[in-house]
Amino acid sequence: MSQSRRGGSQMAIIGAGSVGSGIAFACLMRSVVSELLINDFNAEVCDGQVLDLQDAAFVSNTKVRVGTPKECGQADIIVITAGARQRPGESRDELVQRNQDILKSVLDGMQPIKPTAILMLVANPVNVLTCMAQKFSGLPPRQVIGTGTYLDSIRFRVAMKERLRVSESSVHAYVVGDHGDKQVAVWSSATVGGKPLLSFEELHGLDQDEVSHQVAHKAYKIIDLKGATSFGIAAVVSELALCITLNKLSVIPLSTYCERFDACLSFPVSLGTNGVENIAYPEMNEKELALVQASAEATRKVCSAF
Amino acid sequence: MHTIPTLANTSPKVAIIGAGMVGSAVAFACLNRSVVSDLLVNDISKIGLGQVLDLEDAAFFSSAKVRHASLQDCGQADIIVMTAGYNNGPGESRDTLIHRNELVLKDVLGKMQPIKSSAIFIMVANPVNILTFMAQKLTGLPPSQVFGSGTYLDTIRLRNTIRKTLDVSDASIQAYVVGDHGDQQVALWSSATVGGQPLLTFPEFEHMNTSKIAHQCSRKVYSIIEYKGGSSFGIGAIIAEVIECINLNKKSVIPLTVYSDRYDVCLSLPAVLGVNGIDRIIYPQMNATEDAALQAYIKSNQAFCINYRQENITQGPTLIDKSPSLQLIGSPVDNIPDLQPSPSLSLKKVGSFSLLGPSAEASSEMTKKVSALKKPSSFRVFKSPVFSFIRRSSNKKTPSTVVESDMISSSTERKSYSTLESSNSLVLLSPSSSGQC
Repeated sequence: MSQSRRGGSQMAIIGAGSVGSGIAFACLMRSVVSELLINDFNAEVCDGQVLDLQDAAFVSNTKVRVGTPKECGQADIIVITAGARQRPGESRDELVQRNQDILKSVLDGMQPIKPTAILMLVANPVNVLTCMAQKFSGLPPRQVIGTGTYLDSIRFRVAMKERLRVSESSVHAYVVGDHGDKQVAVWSSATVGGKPLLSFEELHGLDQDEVSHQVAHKAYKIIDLKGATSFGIAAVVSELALCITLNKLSVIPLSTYCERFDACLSFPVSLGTNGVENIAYPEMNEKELALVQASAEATRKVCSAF
Repeated sequence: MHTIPTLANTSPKVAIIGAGMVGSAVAFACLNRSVVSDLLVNDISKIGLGQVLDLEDAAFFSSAKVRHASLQDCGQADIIVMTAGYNNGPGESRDTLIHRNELVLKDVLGKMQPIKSSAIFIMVANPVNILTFMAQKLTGLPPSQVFGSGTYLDTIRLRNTIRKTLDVSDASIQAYVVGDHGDQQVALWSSATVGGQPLLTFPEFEHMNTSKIAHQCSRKVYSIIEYKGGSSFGIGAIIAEVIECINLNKKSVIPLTVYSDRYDVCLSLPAVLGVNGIDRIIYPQMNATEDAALQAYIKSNQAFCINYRQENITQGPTLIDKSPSLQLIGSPVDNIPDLQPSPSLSLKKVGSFSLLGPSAEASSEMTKKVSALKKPSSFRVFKSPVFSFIRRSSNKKTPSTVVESDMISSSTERKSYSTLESSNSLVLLSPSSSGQC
């Protein structure tokens, strides 16, 4: 039997809005894959984004083109950003029905999906959509993830950055549970340089609830000021893509099925070429645990519908 | 002459003026490529604040610090990227666009002064060659430290087209587009090579209509604008590339808008770029057609520059209203000399002008006098520390009213501003210490 020619690594992005094109741009700047396919039901917008992205592709010599749904289903990494945008003041849960319908139609259009593909959900509500995709994509659950609370964790770390004058990557803290208003910042086991975060003098007298609230609501603030968020999520997805292509096995909080809570929630998982390897549950105090359990129950309820 | 690299031992501080589609794309590209550790963003609208919040979520690759900064702080950056400026409005003439963006440039530079003497100033706003020329006069920096994005993006687009035909990487293609960013760019096919072999000797290119391809390339941006509203990724990527080149003193040869001694104009040519800015310009070999096209552009560019110099940049706007009843009023701004009316300019040719720095008293003086005019008309005074506009509406039935508002800065105000211009009834006054209405 003759060996078929190998192509380079491929990534497909479904949805060419500000999030989808932002992700594409970040991947072009960081040399993530050798070919990038973009798909959007609005062909004109898709064409325009691809033309613009092609002007930036020289940085990493990546090939960028419009992909059909079937072609996208054959990529190594498939990122689904397609979804209705969260309107100012709208809660993420109000997006549920609209985005469930879109997801179903996107998944159907891509079938049959490449068996080794990693499917990444970005649209909201991300935990619910990840659960849905795990049921309907045909892929093993470990290969279906959602961006979960990764961006929230970054935002939390950025909030600590100025106060402690350390880089965000040195703040070992996780926001878990649901990407949204009910997210849980695990203050109790957060550390910097091995030292508990809350024991730092600079944070004495800090209103934890206030900071947690600001982190959870940063997206609304950005939407109010500039209309949408794009850069944060784009950066986060490009890092996830690199984790996969380089088999980094970085521990990152992502949406996946959590056995401990019997629900699709965002918890730290090690991510590599084969998807999720392990899941880690950070030490939580009673309050944090209770909040997570409440999130788990709510998610289970919505997911039981399908 | 050996110059000590000015960025040695310090982390590069980059300031981006204008946080619209282009400015934010530049910022995002820089963060992704870890070419900046201190990123300052300045924008007059609240969108700028939103961009900063979004960008700081993308800084974790390099742990860069992103913040909104005043123009004064931006003037102390190591690299200043100027993206603020208008795009062509519907039916707007090039001259009008130039004047509008000149005012934005003056306003920005005025507030940034004094600019760090070792700073590198990169012009991105359009028309880039002309604005670079102005920036070289206005920043106070040596010309080698002031350049524009020029035909770098056009060059990338041409290489993209060649790449698709030959199926080789962009980096392997040696080809330059020179001249002006836009319709007057000149693609240098005759000196293009791949792997040392002249491009035009490749079988794929032997029968190709190269001028058609070049023309299509130059029009590409219009498709992007039509489909998605604006182009940003390309310019974002190339500016990040330019910044990396400066930081690492790469001395790459990049087609940028530079001042050419040989032609005495600012145009885009391959230039050697390092930590101190432009080291030297390379004049590529051209065939007769290419040379003629470039010379034609240079001639038109020269004509503009001579005209511009004659009008004397520092003088600013002049009186153009034909009615003798409106004269010079207002108080002069520091460092700007008194102006004289220029009756030779007619209303129609003029886009926008400014009344430089009226003080609060002069402003109310002026509005009183204008209101006292016998002709019934309505006026709008846009007041700011730097400039104001007076408009006489064509509706003669409305009684004299004067409305004061802040400087046109938000995008909603920009729309009303362009309506003012298209009404062809702009009246401009220049400041002087005396004058009566």
